[in-house]
Amino acid sequence: MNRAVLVILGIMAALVVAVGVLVIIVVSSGDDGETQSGSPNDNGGDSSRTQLRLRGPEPITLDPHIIQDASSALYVVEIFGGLLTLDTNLEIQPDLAVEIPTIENGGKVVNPDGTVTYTFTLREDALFHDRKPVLASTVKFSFERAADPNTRSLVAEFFLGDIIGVTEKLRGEATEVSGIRVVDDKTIEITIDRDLPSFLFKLTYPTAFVVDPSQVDSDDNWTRQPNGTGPYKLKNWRFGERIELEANARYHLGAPIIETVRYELLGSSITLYEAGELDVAGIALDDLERIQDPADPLNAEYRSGSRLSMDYLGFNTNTEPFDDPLVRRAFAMAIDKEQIARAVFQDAIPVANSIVMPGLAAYSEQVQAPLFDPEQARQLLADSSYGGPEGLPEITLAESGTGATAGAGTSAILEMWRQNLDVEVEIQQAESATFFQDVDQGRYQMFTLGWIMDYPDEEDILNIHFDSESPNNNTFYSNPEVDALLREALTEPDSARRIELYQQAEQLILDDVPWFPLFFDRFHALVKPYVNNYLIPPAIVPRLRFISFSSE
Amino acid sequence: MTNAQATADLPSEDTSTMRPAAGPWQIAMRRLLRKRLAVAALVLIAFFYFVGLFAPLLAPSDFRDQNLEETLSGPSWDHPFGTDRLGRDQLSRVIWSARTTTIVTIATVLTGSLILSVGLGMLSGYLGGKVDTVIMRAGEAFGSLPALPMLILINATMRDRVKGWVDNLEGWLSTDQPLFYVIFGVLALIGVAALAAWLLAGSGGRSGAWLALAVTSAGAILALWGVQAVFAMPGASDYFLIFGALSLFFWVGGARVIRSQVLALRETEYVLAARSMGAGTWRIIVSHLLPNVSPIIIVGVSASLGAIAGSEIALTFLGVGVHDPTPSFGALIFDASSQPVIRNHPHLLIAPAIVVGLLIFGFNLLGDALNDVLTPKAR
Amino acid sequence: MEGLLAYTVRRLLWAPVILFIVSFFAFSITRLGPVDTVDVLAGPRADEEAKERVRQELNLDKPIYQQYGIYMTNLIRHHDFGESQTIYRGTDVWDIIWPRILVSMQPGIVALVIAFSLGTAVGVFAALRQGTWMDPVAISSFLFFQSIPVLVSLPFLVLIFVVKLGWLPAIGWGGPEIDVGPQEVSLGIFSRHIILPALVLSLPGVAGVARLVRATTLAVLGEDYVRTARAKGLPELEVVGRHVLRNALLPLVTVIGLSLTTLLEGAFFVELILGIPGIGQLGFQAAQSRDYDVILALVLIVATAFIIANIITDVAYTFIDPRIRFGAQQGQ
Repeated sequence: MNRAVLVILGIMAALVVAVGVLVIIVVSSGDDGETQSGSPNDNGGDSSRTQLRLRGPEPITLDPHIIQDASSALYVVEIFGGLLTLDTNLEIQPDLAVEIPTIENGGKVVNPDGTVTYTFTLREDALFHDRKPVLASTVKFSFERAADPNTRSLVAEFFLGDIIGVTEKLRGEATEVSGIRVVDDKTIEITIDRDLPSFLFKLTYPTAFVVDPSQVDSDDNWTRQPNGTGPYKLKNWRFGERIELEANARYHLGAPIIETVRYELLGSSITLYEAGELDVAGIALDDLERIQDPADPLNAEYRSGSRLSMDYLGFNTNTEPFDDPLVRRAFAMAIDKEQIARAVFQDAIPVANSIVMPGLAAYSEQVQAPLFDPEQARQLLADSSYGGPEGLPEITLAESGTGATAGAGTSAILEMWRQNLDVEVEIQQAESATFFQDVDQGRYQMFTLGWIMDYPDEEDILNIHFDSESPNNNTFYSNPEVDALLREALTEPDSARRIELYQQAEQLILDDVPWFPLFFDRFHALVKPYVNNYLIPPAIVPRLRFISFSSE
Repeated sequence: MTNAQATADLPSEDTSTMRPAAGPWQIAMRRLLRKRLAVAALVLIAFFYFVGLFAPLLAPSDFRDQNLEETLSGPSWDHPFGTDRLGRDQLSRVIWSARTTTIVTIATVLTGSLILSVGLGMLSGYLGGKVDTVIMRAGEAFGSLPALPMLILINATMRDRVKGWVDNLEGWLSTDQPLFYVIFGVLALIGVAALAAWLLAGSGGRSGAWLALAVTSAGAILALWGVQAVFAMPGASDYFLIFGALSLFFWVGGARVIRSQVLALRETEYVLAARSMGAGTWRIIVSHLLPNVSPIIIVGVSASLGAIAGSEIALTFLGVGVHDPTPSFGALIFDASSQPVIRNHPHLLIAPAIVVGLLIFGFNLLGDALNDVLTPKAR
Repeated sequence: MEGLLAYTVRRLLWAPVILFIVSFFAFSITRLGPVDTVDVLAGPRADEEAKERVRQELNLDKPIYQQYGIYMTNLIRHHDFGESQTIYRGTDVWDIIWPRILVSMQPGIVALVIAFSLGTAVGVFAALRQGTWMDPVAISSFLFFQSIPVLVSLPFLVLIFVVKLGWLPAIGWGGPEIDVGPQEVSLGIFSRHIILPALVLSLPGVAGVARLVRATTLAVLGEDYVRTARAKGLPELEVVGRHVLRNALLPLVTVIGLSLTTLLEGAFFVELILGIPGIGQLGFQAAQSRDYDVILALVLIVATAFIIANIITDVAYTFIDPRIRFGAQQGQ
């Protein structure tokens, strides 16, 4: 036998040995009972189940005052609470406050100078996790911390800016927020500068949540063991590995049913689910087709639904070449969203032709973004101040993501620009925390991003992003006509008129294309049959405490 | 990257038994060709590089061409390796990725292995003293570092800056610039003149230095053209960052071996003779030392090729190598290695994984064989 | 023995110099390399004033050698690697890294043990069977494993053993937990989670060890005293055990340094693909999110470990080397 044959034999022998060794190891350690750590009773219908196991994203921070991303909010709304909260139907409910202040119950008073004062009475049993009572002074401290320039909150101005004195505090011109007054231990008054129908909604956002002053002041790393008022406490956050939440048995709105909730931060959710290590799993695109097949055993556990959420392409209107609306329009019209949705996403998510999503009052099919038309797109680009593809500078599209390759949808869009416009665009990826920062700083020419509504009001998507004065206007879009319409709508008491104003503004925005809506969001999940009441609300609101296990 | 071990199995420094024998090349070649496995590896690698160099001609389609009507199809006659989620032909993606590997390995070998390790190794060995100490200590510092984390550090921190530099240079080094042609012309003139001087000097007084100058200028022209071509590609800055960073780490082994060779040769009679006849440092290096260390250079280069190719794939996999849409095996494998994809569309993983596995295996076999052949130390 | 002592001392004195070069190099890259250090550190929408404050706070306005001095002083005096700027904003870098090192070490150690024992066995076996077909088969089969990059082999193993067969856990890491200060760490070494990473990391190393052991074994087998022992009719196993193994194993120490490199680099892919919360995973995250101080700390720690390992192997080798010769002479 010559050497080459021997080597080939050797390779085969090695493979056999390798497989053999693995088999032996696996078989011999198979029944030592130690299947995985820390999770009791993972298989079978065991009535003593006490832990809900989910796959979650790693939060960027658990500081409620600065968060602005969905993956952090998911945990923060369970751990913390504020005066008001949203229920799973997205209706305002009292949380730390006894009731929602209205004109009828005397909690809301319109002052002669046009300002409005809300009076909140705190619940007697409103306690932090460590059983410290929540006092009016605590609430005031929390608002002032959120508005402190050192907290560096990017969302405080939008969500709290209506309160008199917050802007001054944010600018560092005041030490206190003058519009917040502690009446007594359990009563607090908040005065806002004008009558805004949506103000109470804003108080349900984490920036208005209550934190423990003594903890925040004394401990730099307090977000690793935060003392909140929510239905769950953070038991354990192992960076990059898992988050465990533990029920707050004394929760004032009703104690959670499930004792602990564990989020795995790593791993492929469907594999974990099938291995019996998760109770709920999101479905990756590659698995969707298989699971949607009625013959698949998992099909019975499949759920899907819509969310008040959308993906869009943002054009930074301050940078070349997207300072020219014609270029933006040309780029938008060169994208065949229908084809991407069908071929790349297998119809898992619907195409979006408007910014306002179905489910909001102002949604209308009449309001439309520019439609796919490659001919006209080329023409628009030629008519633009850049004169065509040759005149364009280098263009980079940024997206949030890690790893070697861009998202499939983004790649498809890039290729459509190359084919339809003859423009080569580069992709830049950034990890989410950095990405959000850079978007806010206007460091990208264009980006893809998603937006999930914080509360069901058009203000939370139109005013926050397209008012030229808004700190969260991430495309630096400025159109006086739009500004006027948006501001009028904000204070308009008549809802029909309000919808009309918003629709007018939205159409103007869509025509100018600072945002180009791509897709509305749908969730696709697998839920084990023994999990009851696993609600996936259209926005991020506290929901874990309603979930229970059926005892079978 | 996992195969770094192979590079380190360079011939030990105990190579003093090697004398400047006549025609080390032929002997080595003959011995190498007697090893079947090495020949197989050589053929495999040659085929890979052929594919890489002529990717634009060989690939059935462009790596970006999408056919959204034919996504995620399995292997077929039209698409032997199937298509991905965007309907791109996987075979074409693999072929274009081979091109990326080809560019990165060749560029790194040119800058790192050849220029840095040969130059520094020879200088260090020949000059000795302080120069030797500085070079070898620097080498030791680099050599004692885990390369991958350092590469990640460099690539993650320097990317934007390098992009700026490259964009800047791109303006200068383009065929739109008249200056570019001027430099070209000057280099060509120097080359032709040097060649003429060498030819005209007559067989008696032929100086290797003239020939070296001619070869250098020809090399410079080629390099310039190559660099220009690389600059013109999308994602050029990624390439520069990668092979710049890789060069920093892949010169040490080669330089060390060459140094020990030169140390041994420095004291041989004919070098001493040349020196006593008044030959300058450069002349001795170029016409006496260089030819005699070249077999060692070949070993060093071939052994590091596999590691360089592996590093590029690894860096890209980690998101700090070449970026979309530039195709790379790292990206192909990254895409295909998530569990949902492996499970539902395994064809996306198989093709790139097998090609990469074979390539690295080929490099290792070849490096091994060359090691055997060129170091007469008995095994 | 004086030569040895002098060498050891020289090596030890040399270590801080290398460490200095490396740390200065790495530090300078993180401070001078990025175009946006201040932007990233100052956070979004920071005005010039805020950026200036950050610049002063982090001494970015000082010359680089001063910044380096300050950084190293903090590091040495207070074990302070700074704070994470993007991934876990505000958390001590050391608190993030420390538990991860403990996790990453576990598959590494197991892999090292497997690679060494399997490699030695294969090497001795091949040497004893020199000239037969078993020698090249044994060696080249492991050369094959050495040539398959982890990022190629691992996805296949996951597909087979986790997804298709379900024999190995789908969660990357787990096991009994211990508290190490900043957080608990799972000891996967006592659970099935260790199997896949340890195996994948060890296989590429086997060939290197085996070849070295084979070569030294052959050399030792050629020595007169071993031939004498064999001629005296001592059982083969005893000869191998007493004379061959003892001498052949010593040079193996030198491979440890190399194996560390392989292990560390393999760890990046193993941790990413399997989802193990170790330093590879962290390095990946930090590189993606431009958390420069975390990468810097990682590089410094890993480099220090490498330099120390290198010195130990070097010194050990010089101590071991004469003993081999000594033993050989005595044997005669």
